[in-house]
Amino acid sequence: MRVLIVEDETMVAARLERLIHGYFGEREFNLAVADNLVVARDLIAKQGPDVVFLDLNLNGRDGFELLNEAVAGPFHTIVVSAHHDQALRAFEVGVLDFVPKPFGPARLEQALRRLEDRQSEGRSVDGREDTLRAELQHLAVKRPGRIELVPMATVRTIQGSGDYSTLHLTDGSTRLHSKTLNTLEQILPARFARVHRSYLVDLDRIVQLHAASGGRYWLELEAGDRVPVSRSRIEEVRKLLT
Amino acid sequence: MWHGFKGCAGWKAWIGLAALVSSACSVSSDSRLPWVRVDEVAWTIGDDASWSQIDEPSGQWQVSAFSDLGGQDEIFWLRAEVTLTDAHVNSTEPLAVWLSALATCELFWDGEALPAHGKVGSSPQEEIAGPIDAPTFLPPRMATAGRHLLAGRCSTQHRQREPLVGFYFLAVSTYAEFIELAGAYSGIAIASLSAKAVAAIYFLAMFVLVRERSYLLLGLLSLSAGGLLVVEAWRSLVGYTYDWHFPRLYGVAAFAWLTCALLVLFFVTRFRGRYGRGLLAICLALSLVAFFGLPGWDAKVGAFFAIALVASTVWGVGAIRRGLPGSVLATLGVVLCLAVFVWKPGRFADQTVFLALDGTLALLLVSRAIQARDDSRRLVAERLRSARLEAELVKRSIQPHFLMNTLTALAEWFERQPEVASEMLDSLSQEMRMLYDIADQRTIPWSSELRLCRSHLEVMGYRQDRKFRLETTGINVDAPTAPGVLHTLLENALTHNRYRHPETVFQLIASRHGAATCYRLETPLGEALSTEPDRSSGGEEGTGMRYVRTRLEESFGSEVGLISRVEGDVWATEWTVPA
Repeated sequence: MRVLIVEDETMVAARLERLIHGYFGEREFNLAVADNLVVARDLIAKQGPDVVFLDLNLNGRDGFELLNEAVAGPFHTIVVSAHHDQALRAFEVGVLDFVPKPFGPARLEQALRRLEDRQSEGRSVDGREDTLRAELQHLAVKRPGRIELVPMATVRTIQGSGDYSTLHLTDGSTRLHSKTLNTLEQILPARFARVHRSYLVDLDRIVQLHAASGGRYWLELEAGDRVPVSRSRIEEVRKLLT
Repeated sequence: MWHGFKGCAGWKAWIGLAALVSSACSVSSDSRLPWVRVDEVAWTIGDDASWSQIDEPSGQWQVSAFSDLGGQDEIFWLRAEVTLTDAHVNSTEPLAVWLSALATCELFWDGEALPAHGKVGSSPQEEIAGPIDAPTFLPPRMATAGRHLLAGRCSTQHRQREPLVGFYFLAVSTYAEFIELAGAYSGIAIASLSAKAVAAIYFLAMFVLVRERSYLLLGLLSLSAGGLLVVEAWRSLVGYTYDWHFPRLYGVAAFAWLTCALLVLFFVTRFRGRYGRGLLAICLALSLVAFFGLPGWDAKVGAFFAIALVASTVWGVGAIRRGLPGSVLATLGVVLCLAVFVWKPGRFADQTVFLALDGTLALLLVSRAIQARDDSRRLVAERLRSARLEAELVKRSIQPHFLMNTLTALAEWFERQPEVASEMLDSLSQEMRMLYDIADQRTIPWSSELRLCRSHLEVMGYRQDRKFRLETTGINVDAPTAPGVLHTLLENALTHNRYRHPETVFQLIASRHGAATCYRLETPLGEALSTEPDRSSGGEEGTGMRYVRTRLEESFGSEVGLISRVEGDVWATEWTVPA
C-alpha cells in the first residue's frame, strides 16, 4: 500500500503519519508527506499512490480545485478537513471517505479499513457505504489543461481500458478516466453493476436481457446499445433485474 | 398766519407696515376716518406763549415741510392749520394728535394746552425728553368741525446728532386707530419673535446635544434675528423717549450686522469650500464701507442684508453644484429672503426682513433636519460596520480552519508531550481571551495588540513545530492602534507562506513623520509564495486586507495610506496614522 499525505499543517501531518503507522503496524506499506501541491504532484507522478489523504485548505487555497484534480487521478482520495460542512460536496465528486478534524485513532482506522475492504472485496454491501456512494454526483475527468466534472446521470456504461476506463455518455460521446474499472467500481453508486469483466452498466438504463446461441448473453440498453454479460455474472444480473 | 395742510399720504415706513397689516386683517378701510396729516408747518425760533393763539403771530416765521424740520439749540415754535370734518366730529371714537419726532413738544389746540409729554427746556438739564411717538388725547369739546390751529412749543436739547429726518409725523385721527396700528405691528413682531425663539432653542439644544458647529451658528442666527426684531419693535411695543433713538438705531445696526455675518458664516461652515474665508473677508469689508459710507440707517442695514444674501446665495449655488447634501433647501431659503429684498428694498430693513428671515430659518431648519436624518442613517451604518468588524474578529478565533487544525495539533501534542500541549493550551487561551476583550474596542494600546499577536505566533509555532517571533522597533506601547490589524497581517503571512526555517522573525517598525506615525510590518517571503506565483496575499485585496483597511479607517479616519507589496525577500505592509 502506497499512502500519500498532502497536508501543510506540520503537527496534523505528523499525527496522520503516526496513526497510519500505528494502523499498519508490521505490515508493509509506503508513506510520503507533501506540504504543498507542487510536491504532491511530483510524488503522485513518481510513486503512484493507492490513496491520498488530502487537506482541503492548502496554504489558504480553495481545496476543491485540488480535490477535483485528485479524484480524477487513478488513486483513492480520503479528505481530511477542518470544514466538515464540505463533506457532501466531496462525496459528490467521488472521494472514498471524509475525515473531519480533529480526529482520533478510531476515525482514521475506520477510513483505512474502508479503503482496504474496497480494495480486497470490491463492492461492499455495507449499507452506510452504499449511502455514501449514492452521494457521488460527478466523475472528475482530466482533460487537456482542465478537470471536467461529468455528471453521473449522463453515464450509461463504463468500459475497462487497461489502466483506464472509458465512460460512455448518453449523448454518444466518451471520456477516458484515469481510474481502473475496479477502482471506479469501489466508489460508484449501487445502481452501477459489474456485468462483465470489462463493463459496468447503469441498471436503470437496461431494456432487456437477451440470450444468444452458445450460452452467451447480452444486455439491450436505451438507445439500442448492446453490452455483453459474463457467464459467471449472469445469475447476479438476473437477480438485480428482478 | 394760518398754514395749510394736506391729506394723508407718504407714511413713514414702520407705520406703513402697520397700516398694511391692519388693512389685511379684514378691517375695511372705508370704515376708517381719514387721517388728517400735517405736512407743512410754519416755525420760528423763540418762545412766546401768545404763539399758541389763533391770532396772527409776531416774529419771523418760516414755512417748511414738517419732515424738513431740524433740531434747534433753542426753544422753537411751530404752527399748522388742521381741518376736521363732520365725520371726525361725529365719530364715536375719541380723537388724538399723533406727534412722532426727535423732540419734546408741548401741543396747543386753538390756544389751549394739550396734556404734555416731557418738558420743553432751553438746556439739556432743563428739558425732560418726551416720547418719540406721542399720541395726545383731544377732548371732544375741542374737536369741532372746521379749521383749528395746532401749535407746538418744542425743544431738541437731547438730540445726540443731526439725523437726516428728525420730525417724522404729525397727524390727527382717532385715538383707537393709533393704538391699533401700533398693536398690529406689535402682533406681527411678537409672532415672528416667537418663531425665532423656538428656532433658537431648538438649534442651541441640538448644539449642546451633538456639538456640531452649524447648529450653534443657526442658534445664534435665530437669537440675533430675534434681537434685531426686539430693538426694531421696541418703539412700537414699549416706546421710549426720543433721546434713546440713536442708541436704538446703533442696536439695530449691530444686530443686523451680526445676523448677516452669522448667515454667511453658516453657509461657509455648513458647505465647506476653498474660498470661504475670502468670502467672509469680502463681506466684512463691504459692510464696513456700507456702514461708514451710506447715509441713513435703513440704507446701512439694507446694505448689510444685500451683501449677506447675495454672498450666501452665491455660496449656496456653488454648494448645489458640488452636490452637497442640504444645499438646495438652504439656498432656497436665502433666495426667498433675497427675493423679498429685491421686491421692496426700501422696506426690507425694518419690515419684511423679519417674515423673510422666518421663511429662511424654516427652510434651514428643514435642510438641517434632512441632514440630521442622513447623519442618523450614517451613524447606524457605522454601528453596523463596527458590529460586523467585531464579529469578524471574534469569528476568526472560532473559524474552522484555525480552530480544528489547532485542536488536531493539540491532540497530537497531548499524546506526544503533554507538557508542550499544556503550554500550547495556555497560549491558545490567552489569544482567545484577548480577541474577545478587544473585539468591540475602537482602538487599543499597542501593548494589547502585541500580546495578542505573540500569543497567536506561539499557537502557530506549536501547530507548525517551529518558532515564530515578532520583533518591534520604535513602538510606543501606550499609543493606540486598531484592534486585530497586526494580528490579521501576521495571520495572512502564516496562511499564505510556508516557512521551513526553525525560526521565523517578523519585524514591526514605527517611525514618526511630523504629526503622523508610519508603521511597517516586514514578513519574510515563504516557499509557497515564491514557488506558486498565483498565491498572492496582496495583489488582489483579500478578506484579511479588507478587514485591515476597514478597521484602520474606522479607528483613524480614511487617510491611513495602507500599502502592501513585495520588497526583495520580504512582504512589506505600511500604514500611517495620526501620532
